[in-house]
Amino acid sequence: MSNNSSKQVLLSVIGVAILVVAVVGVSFAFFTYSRTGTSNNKITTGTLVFNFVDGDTITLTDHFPITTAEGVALTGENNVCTFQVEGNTSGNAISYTVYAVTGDAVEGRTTRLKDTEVFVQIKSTDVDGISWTPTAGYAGGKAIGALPLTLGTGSVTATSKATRTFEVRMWVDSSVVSIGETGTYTTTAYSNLYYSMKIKVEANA
Amino acid sequence: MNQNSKNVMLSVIGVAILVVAVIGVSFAFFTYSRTGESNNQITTGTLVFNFEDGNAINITNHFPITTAAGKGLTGTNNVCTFSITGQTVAGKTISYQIYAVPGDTMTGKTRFADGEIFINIKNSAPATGITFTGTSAYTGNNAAAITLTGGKLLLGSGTVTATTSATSRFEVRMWVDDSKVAISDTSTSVTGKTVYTTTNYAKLYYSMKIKVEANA
Repeated sequence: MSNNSSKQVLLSVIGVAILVVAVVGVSFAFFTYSRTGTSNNKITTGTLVFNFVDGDTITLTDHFPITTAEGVALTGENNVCTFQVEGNTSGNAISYTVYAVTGDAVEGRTTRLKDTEVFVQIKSTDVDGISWTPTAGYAGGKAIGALPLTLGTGSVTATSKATRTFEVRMWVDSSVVSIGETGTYTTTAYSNLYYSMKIKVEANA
Repeated sequence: MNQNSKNVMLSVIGVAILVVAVIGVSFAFFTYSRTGESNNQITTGTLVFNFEDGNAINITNHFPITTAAGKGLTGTNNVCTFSITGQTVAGKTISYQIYAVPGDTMTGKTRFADGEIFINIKNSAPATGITFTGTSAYTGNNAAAITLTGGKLLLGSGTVTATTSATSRFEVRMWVDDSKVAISDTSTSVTGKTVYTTTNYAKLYYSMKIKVEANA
């Protein structure tokens, strides 16, 4: 290859390169575009509120066996346990379950009444957005049987805050406990008894 | 065939993973559990009721006496004593009844008829919080022949409202009343009385126990 030919080739390459750069440079300058769309694609989290609020407590002292009719009619301070379930949801329904669970020991008392000797009743007035279905028998009063005890279930579908109030009564039922020499307990044994129970609420969605 | 099996297996695994993921998300989505602070409790009441035997009547070589003499019997073996001790809580009254019921039989002896025996009960030491109302024919200054109804004679009843332990004491007397029984080896009939020969009278006995029932 002669020296002159090499120069011509080099010049051609340089010329093409300059042409390409010029064309590209003109293109960038020739048209530019930039725009942000108006559609705001977004995620916002849902509102889900559930709470269980303690109310009045049952504190029956010097208690003697009573009939089921008397038990479900107990009223007033220390005789009725009250609590509330409150909640709202913007999406999925919240399912909840109310339990009776073993309570604390009572100081000075050594013997716990049997779960079969204590009756319990749960009542609630209907509220929009919070449903409730008591376990069969417990709306009218029934022996606890065994703890933990499912007192009932329900669901929260309210979209704004709703509150449902519950009442629980419990008593020693005279259909299963009698006092006396031939009874369930002697007077001495009976005077040393106690029973305790707490309310537990579980929920999920 | 082999490749198809692999595809099917992979599909199944894929679906299973998807199901588990969805369920997993569901469970993890929201859970709540809370046990209330309120300890709902029942404590039972103290209820005390006890009947305590004291002295027993053990009258031997007894002959018919007047009602006045019978009510005036005193001393060991002539007066039955017992006590009732009770305690309850406010608003819970214990009701009780005191009965005379037939006592033990005695071998080789013949029992008096109930109507030949007179009885009297007294609330000798009443207690505050324990009431007693005797059956009118048998209490206080009255005495009458024993008449069993349903195998027992109601001597009286009462209530316990004492909230601290209280004890009420009672006395019971019984005797063969001469208005009902005569002893004669010559006369076989005396108006209004049962007549025993001396021989037959010597073979007689009577026995009675006190029974107390209570409820609240």
